[in-house]
Amino acid sequence: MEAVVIEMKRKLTYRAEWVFTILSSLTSILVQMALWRYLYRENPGMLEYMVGYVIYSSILRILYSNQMYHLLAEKILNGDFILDLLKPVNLLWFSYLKSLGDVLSSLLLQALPLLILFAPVLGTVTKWEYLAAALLALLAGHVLISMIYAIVGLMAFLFVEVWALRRLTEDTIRLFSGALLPIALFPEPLKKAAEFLPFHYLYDFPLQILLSESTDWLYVKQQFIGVLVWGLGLSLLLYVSYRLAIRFCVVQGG
Amino acid sequence: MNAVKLYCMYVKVFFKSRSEYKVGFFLGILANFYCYLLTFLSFWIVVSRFQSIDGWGFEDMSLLYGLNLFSYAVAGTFVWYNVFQLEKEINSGRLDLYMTRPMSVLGQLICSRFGDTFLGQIIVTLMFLVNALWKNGGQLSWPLVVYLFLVLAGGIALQAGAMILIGALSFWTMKSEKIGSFYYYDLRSLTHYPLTIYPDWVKIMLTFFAPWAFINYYPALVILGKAKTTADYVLGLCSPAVGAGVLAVSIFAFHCGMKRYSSTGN
Repeated sequence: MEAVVIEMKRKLTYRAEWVFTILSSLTSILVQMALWRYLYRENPGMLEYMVGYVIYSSILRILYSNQMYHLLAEKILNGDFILDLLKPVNLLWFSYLKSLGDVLSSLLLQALPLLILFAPVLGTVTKWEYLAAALLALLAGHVLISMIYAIVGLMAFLFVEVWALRRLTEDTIRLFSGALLPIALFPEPLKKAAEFLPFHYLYDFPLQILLSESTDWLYVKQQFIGVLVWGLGLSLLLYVSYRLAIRFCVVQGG
Repeated sequence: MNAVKLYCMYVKVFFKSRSEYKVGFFLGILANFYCYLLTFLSFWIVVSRFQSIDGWGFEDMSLLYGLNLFSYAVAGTFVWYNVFQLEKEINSGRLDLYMTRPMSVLGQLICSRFGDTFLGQIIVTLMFLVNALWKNGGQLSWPLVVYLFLVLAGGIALQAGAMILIGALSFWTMKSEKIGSFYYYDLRSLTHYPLTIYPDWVKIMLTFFAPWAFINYYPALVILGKAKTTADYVLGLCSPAVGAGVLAVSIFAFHCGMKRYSSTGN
């Protein structure tokens, strides 16, 4: 909670910055809406779906903006990683809580104004009866992306500069998660690639639950099982990366 | 010529230092190459699904986006790191150091960092631009080729001018990143698509308030023969001049900002 308050105070120090951040998200939404409004000008049903998709996708981008890679990489590069290992708090958990503070404050200061602004539109397109399942999917997505970014952060031991790795990961996620375009629009080979990768659990899956006319519960259950499998796999990879990182530090005599 | 020689020396030293981290260097270029490759891919997905966006096929969209991205990448190579992000130099006090040296502050800022990561963007854009021009080759006469080079030069000048202007805002506001980001990146993103898909006021805004339509939209109308009105044609022909004008204004604004600059006390 303290982390959330600290981040909110930091974000509100320059109020103009906060206002322009919201304006920036708004512009992005309006550009996408204009494109889909043109492309689906003769299909009101799909247009309504895409408008909801674009708005929720922009809001989810705030939920998935994770600073764990930056926190870990910075500590590794300036040596604080070693000092933090001496503390009675797990480093990964502590980094997660710090980034969670940033995410929650962004949700309050950026996502909430957008939700309020677009409430009339979202009120009609959202399937409220599936909200609980969608929220569970979003929570799972948040855990997945936190683990992915933690692994990217630990790569600082190998690559020193991780911004490029983070960029490569983010761009792959941006396309193959359905953040930019619904995966249903992809040609078959790209659709198969997107469904194989875990990124579609971040955007496409929760948005399908929230916006689709009829939800196939068997498909939803299969997707949740997929999330669980990927979650276990990524947590194993993260654990191995973390143990290797500590062993690397100990071997170097730090 | 001395300035060019000096800049080349700075770039040589920069590459020597970057070569200490070879993996990071190549990863940075790859990251930018990959990012914009995926952007072109997303255009291809949309155009494959809908055949065109208001009569603009994939090659037309490649030209439209390519003009924007190429000029941005070349301009960014020179001015993005230290001039666009001038607020960091001001808030850290490093700008004061530049003022003590016998070289213009703007010149030093440009020399202090070469935008190596933009090379990835330049490579990927050239691939798609050349492909688009090749496919539209039948329409390209020699005057249009000369016009294309003038447009690219004008686009680079306009984008560099915009970055210098956003950076110069820091002299007045101390923090200009988000304001600049909105005015430059977000409004410019409207030009990724043909402006005919938006309401008319958007086109007016991008012509007179934030002249980003002169980077790619109006020139693309002329090159692709899509200019429907005399105004579109004339605005397209004026694009290089608009770019030069924006650059001149931005350099003037930078010098005005320097005159009123008082250190942040670091």
